[in-house]
Amino acid sequence: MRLFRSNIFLWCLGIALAIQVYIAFETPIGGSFSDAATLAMNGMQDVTPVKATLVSTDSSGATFTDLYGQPGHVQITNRSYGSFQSYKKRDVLVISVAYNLAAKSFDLVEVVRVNPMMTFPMIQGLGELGRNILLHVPMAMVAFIAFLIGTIYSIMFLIKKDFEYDRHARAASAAGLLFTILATVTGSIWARFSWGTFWNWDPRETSIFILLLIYAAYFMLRSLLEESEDKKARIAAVYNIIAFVSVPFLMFVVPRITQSLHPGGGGTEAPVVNLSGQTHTDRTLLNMHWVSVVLFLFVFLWIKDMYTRILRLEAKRAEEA
Amino acid sequence: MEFLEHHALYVVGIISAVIWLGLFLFMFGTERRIRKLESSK
Amino acid sequence: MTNGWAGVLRKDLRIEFRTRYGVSAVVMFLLITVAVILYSTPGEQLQPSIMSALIWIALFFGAMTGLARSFVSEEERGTALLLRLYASGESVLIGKLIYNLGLMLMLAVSAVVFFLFFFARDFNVRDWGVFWLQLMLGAVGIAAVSTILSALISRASQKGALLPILALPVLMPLVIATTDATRIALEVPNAWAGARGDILILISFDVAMILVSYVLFDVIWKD
Repeated sequence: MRLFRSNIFLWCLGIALAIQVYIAFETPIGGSFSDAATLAMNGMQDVTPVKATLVSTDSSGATFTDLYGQPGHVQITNRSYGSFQSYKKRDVLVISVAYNLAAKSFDLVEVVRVNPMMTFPMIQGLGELGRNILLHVPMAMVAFIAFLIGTIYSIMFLIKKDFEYDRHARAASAAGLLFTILATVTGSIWARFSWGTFWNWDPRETSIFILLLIYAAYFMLRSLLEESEDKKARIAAVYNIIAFVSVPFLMFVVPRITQSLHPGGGGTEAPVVNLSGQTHTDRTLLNMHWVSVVLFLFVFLWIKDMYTRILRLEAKRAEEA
Repeated sequence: MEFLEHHALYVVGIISAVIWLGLFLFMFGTERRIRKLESSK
Repeated sequence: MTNGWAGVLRKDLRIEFRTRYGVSAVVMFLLITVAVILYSTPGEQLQPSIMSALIWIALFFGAMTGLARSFVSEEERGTALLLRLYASGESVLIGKLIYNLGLMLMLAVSAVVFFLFFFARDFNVRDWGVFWLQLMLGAVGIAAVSTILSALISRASQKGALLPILALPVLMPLVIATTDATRIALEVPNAWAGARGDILILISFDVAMILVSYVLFDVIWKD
């Protein structure tokens, strides 16, 4: 594609990605008062950031309503850094609070941000680790899209018999494999910190492992065949199409039917791609997520385009030799 | 460890900046080499 | 010889009756697998999950040894060209598919008989209906995938080791679903409620694979 040969576009893409990743990791997490209370009562986390609107200040602290409209009184204690004196009514504050189990009230720890542009949702049990959603999930989605594009190019190759399509299919599958590996690595690191081990053989982990095997077999098949280029490309294209039949089963069906540590397993509804067509995800997170998907998709197309050109050069060299 | 916990945001920011910069430098290097090869034909 | 799929099937059956290569290879493979399991787990209680994994490992690799032959043998004997002249691609595929399906069903039934005989204590199927249903659906899927992939690798110069490597990842959704359904059929008397999702996966996988191989077969078969 011509688009990926203009340096200006690529620098814009790079800057957009950097800004997106920075925003995603810099945005404060804002939960609700009930988040703070449940997390403290379960002993999971003492201090929880809460996003709330200031209603009134008094001598001991201030009254807030959180994002669900639930009221809460936050007290200034000797643990607190700062006070509420300088804030006006209707200011939206992200405050980290500690739940006082005895008094059933909230103690201020510190004021994190005033009138934030956006806040990252508080995901109970994940907390700050939840930010990895914006790397891990878009990578897996782009990997699926890449394999889909690769399969479409393989079908085109079988119809049109033009090697250009074969090169596109190879490049798309290779870039898809790269994104699958990235999703596996980000997921594995994530699993270490939220589930305890790098690898649990969760249904989704199993299925991404098999996905890696499928496309490893695809590239192995190409390198093992000692046939003419035409035959090799034809066999690889057919295998690519057959293999893709099982990809939706692996990525969408099996993890949704079996019990899973991932959301959406074992009959519960998946957060974004599900049958009811509704999303059960915070708006901000969802918007950030789709922005990430689009940006990663551009990175994928860039890598794919570059690899296609390399393959084209290789083919030309082989022709000349 | 103390330092990492207090400056987690900056650590994450630096790691992501390094990864993205590395990727882009690598890709631009490859781009330049491919262009050279393409124009030599 | 008639030119339809029945002709291809009849030819394969006649060769099979003459040499008994497929059936004996498959039965030997099963006996050896069962012997290895019995030898390595003397007196141990095998859980339903392990039992279902073992039976499907035996079925999968048994299928790989037996079913890989279908197109490879044609190329090795040099009869592929004649087959290409006499029969249409469609009838070759259907004939071979039905032959492989028969072999696969025979393999599945003999595996169940062996397991019932040798693991009489641990292999207690509580829901025979669901058990046979998922066994048949799994057999159809394995037969379909190994038929088309056998045709694919028969065109390559190195044939032997390639089929399991190519087929295993592609068949994995099917194997996951069947092992799960087998485990449920071994565990609970009324397995339908638990195994419904697996059965649906199996049906859609089988249908998709048969359709894709039907569409793609000509591409591989024609030179």
